[in-house]
Amino acid sequence: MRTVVARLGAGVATAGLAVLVTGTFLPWLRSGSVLRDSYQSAGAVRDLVGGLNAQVSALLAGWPAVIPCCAVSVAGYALGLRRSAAILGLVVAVTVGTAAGLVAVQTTGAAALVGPVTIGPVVTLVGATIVLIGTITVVICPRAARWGAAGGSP
Amino acid sequence: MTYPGSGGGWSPHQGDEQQPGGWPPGGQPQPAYPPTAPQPVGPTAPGPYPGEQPPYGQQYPYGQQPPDPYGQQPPGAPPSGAPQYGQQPYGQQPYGQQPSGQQSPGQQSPGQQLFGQQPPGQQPYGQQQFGPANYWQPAPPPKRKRTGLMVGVIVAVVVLAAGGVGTWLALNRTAAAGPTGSASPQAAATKLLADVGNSDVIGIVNDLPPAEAALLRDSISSSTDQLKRLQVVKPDVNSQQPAGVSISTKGITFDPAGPQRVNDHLAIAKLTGGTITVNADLAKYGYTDKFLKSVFPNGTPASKTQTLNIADGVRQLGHPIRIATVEVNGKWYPSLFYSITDAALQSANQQWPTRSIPATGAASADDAVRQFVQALLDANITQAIGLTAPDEMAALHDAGQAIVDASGNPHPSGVKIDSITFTDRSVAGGVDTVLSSMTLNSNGDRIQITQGGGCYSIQAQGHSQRLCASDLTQQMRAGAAGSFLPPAFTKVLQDFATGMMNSGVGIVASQVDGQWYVSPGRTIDQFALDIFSSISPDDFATCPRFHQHGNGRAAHTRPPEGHPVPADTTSAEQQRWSVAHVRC
Repeated sequence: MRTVVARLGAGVATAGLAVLVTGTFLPWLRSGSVLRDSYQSAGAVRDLVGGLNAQVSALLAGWPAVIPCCAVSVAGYALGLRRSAAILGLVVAVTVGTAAGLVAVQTTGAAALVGPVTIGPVVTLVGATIVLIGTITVVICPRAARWGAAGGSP
Repeated sequence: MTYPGSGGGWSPHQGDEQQPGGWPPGGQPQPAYPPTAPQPVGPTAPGPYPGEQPPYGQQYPYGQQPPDPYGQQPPGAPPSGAPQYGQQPYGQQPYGQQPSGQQSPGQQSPGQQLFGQQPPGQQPYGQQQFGPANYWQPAPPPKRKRTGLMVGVIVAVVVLAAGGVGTWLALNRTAAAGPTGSASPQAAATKLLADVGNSDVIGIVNDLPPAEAALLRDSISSSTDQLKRLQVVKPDVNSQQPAGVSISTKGITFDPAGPQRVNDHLAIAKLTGGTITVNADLAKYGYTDKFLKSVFPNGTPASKTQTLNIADGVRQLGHPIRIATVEVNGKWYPSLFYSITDAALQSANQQWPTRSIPATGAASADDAVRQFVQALLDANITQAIGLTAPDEMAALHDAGQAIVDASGNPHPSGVKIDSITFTDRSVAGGVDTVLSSMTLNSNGDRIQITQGGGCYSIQAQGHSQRLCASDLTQQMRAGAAGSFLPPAFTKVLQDFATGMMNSGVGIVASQVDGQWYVSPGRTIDQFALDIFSSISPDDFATCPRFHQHGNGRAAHTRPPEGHPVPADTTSAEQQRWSVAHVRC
């Protein structure tokens, strides 16, 4: 039962990572009638907007690393390294989900030529949420089983 | 050392990282061999303890020493993981050692092989040959189910490969979002017009050469910040958001003869046809209601659209519309500065010079500015142009010889800089060198200028003169338009003068390839910023209030309420008031 739940959590986390990555390729930024995905937006913002603080600059520079991190996490699940995969997925989900959430709540006038687009950030945020659910399942499940065993359960 | 159950090969789905191999999913350690189950013994194979055959691991026949229990390693024994003398591979051979010829048949369980014992039918009993090679020969492992492991590895490899492709794609898209240039001059011009047609502000800025894009970006960003501070635009306005103007293009065509190559890095693309539609809608931009009401008390003008036919413009001009493109690091970019310079040369009926003025930088920002000022005093235009930033002012370097030729033979002032000191402050893209003190020598006369306490002091020929913000304001009020300026506007002038005197007037220098040059574009930008930052939001709201007293043409000739034009005001004075209003 414990293994089944852990496998289910891994599957949910993997699906969440897939949704998260898909969301990063959907529109995040609109400039005129041109839409840009998260990677194009990160490059454009990094080049065009001056005075960014160190954290935002680092996030923009490292944004393409979302994909390899997700790939390594999924590969970890496939190889049975569930805990390591869950921790990596958790880091990615929290970081990317926070950025997506911040962009999603940005408000600009509907007629503004340059502004955020909600579809990409929202899908990414949904993916990050699914990853969190799966990750928590994977991490909590073995611990719960151990606690149960320590309490006398076989 | 642990002994998993026979046939219990590791599978990726048999447990997580908290469960090392050998501990089955139940979490309880289980013996590798049935602890009490008797081994099948043939009817003709009497064992040493018929019917009570000890389990594996407890068997030590023929006076052999009993082995250590599971999980214990005898002292001096080699580390686990390799077959050892007296140590069995994972559950395939009985524990202990059998000497030759002493092996009792019938003690072997199916699928297991005693040490030194050959499988039945391969070698007669008691005739097996012993040697080191045979002794260490491992028994063939049984077939274990590795399907899960193989599937996991394959999935991991596929996912990692897909991740690699995705990463490559993401990196490419990130890099392509910046200024990338185009393969040819016409492609660069086409891309610019396409971005203009899409109202893609980000794309337009990225289309420009990197130095021009950086200057434009910094200028827009800093001025937007000031406009937010002055409550002209809303705080959430994006710096790349144009002021309520959108442009679209349609049917753009170029001269079929191709671009005109001026030199190895400059080509002119000639626009011959198509339409450009400009839509201006102030309500779309993030102007504050306060600002809009100040400027347009009768309501914000409605959206206005105008379409320009390029072919008509070409007919009126008598030549195609020229878009200058430059090559930077092997890529072509449409250049704003080159296009302006090309238009200026065309209007003056001049061609691009065949040679450029080389860049001659200085070792420091202060030195660059000192040399630049001295070159201007010497009327040495060539040196002054050579001291300007070669990336930002590349067009000036290329067209510089035409300017030198057009300027004739200017006379030097004869003034030399004996000493000059600056107060440097870091600004976007360079260093703003603000004059602190300067000693000039004019035909033996010394002129000393110092700045401090919001005032400039000038000492020359024994005389001293001090110019402070209040003096500057007084002079402005005493000027032509000052007689009927409202008190609020006088305060604007006072704040502006105070800000200028306190911050000082500087020249921005930027570093290119380790050398320092004067940056005219950033100097103008910084000057405008100083003006903006020296006035307050209330000051800024004063200027638009002039519009409240009229609209249309009348607004430019009617003073505000409470500050009527004097009865004896002449048309010339009215004109001066109008000029002051327009400047505001």
